[in-house]
Amino acid sequence: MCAYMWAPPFSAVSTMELLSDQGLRVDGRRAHELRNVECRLGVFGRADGSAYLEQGNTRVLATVYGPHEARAAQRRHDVASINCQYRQAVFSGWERGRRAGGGGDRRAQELGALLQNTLESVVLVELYPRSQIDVYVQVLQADGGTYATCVNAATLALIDAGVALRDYVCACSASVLRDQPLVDLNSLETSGAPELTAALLPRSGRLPLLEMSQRFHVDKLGELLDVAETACRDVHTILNRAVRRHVSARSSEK
Amino acid sequence: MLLARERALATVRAELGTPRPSRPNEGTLQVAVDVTPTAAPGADRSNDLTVGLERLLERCLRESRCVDQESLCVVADEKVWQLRLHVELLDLGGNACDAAALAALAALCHFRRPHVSVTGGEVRLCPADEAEPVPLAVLHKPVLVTFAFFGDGQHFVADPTEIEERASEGLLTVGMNSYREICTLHLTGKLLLSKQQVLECTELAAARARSLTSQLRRALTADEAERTALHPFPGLARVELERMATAAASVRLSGAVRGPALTAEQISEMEKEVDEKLSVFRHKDMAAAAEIGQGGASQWGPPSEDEEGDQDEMWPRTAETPAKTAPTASDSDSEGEQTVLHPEDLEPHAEPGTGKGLRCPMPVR
Repeated sequence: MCAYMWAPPFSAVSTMELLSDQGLRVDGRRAHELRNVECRLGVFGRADGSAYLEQGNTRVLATVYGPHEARAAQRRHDVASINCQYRQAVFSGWERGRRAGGGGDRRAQELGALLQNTLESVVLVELYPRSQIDVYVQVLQADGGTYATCVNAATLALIDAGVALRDYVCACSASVLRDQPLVDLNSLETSGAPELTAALLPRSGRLPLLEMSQRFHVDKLGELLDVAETACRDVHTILNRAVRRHVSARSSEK
Repeated sequence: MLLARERALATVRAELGTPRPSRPNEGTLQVAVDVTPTAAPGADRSNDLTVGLERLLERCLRESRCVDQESLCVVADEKVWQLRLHVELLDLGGNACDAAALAALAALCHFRRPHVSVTGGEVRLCPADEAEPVPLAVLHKPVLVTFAFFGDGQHFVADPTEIEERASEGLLTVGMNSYREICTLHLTGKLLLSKQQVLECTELAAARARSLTSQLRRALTADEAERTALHPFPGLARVELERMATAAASVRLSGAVRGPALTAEQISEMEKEVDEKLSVFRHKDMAAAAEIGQGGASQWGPPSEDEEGDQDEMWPRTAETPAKTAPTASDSDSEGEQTVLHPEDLEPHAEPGTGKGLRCPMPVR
């Protein structure tokens, strides 16, 4: 599989190309297949928790600092406050992006706030009053499903940091194209089809996150949610395996 | 736009500019949201609200292809219409998203942009007298419906007030149009939803979206009728007069610059004729709008190379645009560089969308 970073003209992205008649997508996957996932925990020594996650060509780095003493403005007497920052590297997308100047980018702000919402529903914040947990997410290469990968990476980093969580948060993107549901979209498919990003808590089956772009008919929503749930459970299997491997490797070192 | 106690004001401006390099055939739509201090104490300093709302509106209106951006293209790769949608939240009575979205949609449907004609390589803006201002090609009308959840997601209410919003665990915003298509989904707060709840909410949102869009359509039709009633076919009358004025002006100019083609008496006769007709028209229209340029016939010079630059200053079509006064008859050697703008030119006229536009399909109602 070649790692291409080429942006086709918008007119060339049509439904005919995204899904061939044999049911193969542009990168040779079937409709229900996820991209190749590689993850590593504890990549940074300085941070309390860190994780590097690759889903296909999308590469994301997440670091967690905390729980530590909260700044006076952020301090809440009964729960921890979670501070999330999303940053996309200037070399990560098709065109060279603007240099991130103090997080002034609106999309970065929006995604940071969204990540905070998602994580606040999962982290057991009652256990850490008057403290703050910082989660920093850096996108190194964006090839579709970026936000879902960020959520997954943040989960892994929180686990690595030892922060108490209610459950894994596993996210995945899904779409429906000519009545065929697809999962884990790459950037070509994102620009050509509506995309639903959903996160799942596998044990309770509930969704802390739902985001979508473009538009699709409401009758397809049920099917899409089912497909997204299955994909999120697949992601959960992969992440769980990685975490257990990492923990057993760490404990066998000692 | 008044939605219970929540008020929002939306305006649309358009200007010609260069397209984005990745989308050379499409115009652009930018959304900006402002919370005024009148909305709530300290609310204007809150950044999260404005950024969140901007992105939500962008997703709902731009990414769902509500406005056909390809129809905003004038010359591919060079000139496209850049739309700026500005929403002001005047009163935060709860559920700012819905009000802002409805106001934005109404503004987009209501907006009329000047007609453009492209001759050779030159782009020329037609004033409202020559061609009717053209409405935007709105493909579908998405509205946002917000639900607030309580009791660990057990109960939810639609269209929450401010108190309900604050007390809720989280909000689910569903963007839908009248064709039962979901345009956006957005979950905020520490909320864990089940699939059943999402489906229930979308069903309710579909019903509400249909009623909101039909209300909007009725309001727009009523407004259209009002516009037509105020100015019955003014375009025609004005075109005739302006042409006469132009003819007189060019005659005057030719007499002064290129050599006496007409005698001075003939010229002054023509001028008098024009003045008479203009004064009659002016008298009729006195009630409708304030007249500027009562000093004489308007001087539309022949189109010159720098006309495009002048006409770029003709917008935004808001009340604050300073209309330049008409030059008096003694300024005949100005070669028509001063652009005369009557306030009624800025108002939309009669039926929309009948001019021959470049890539401008009829709007779908």
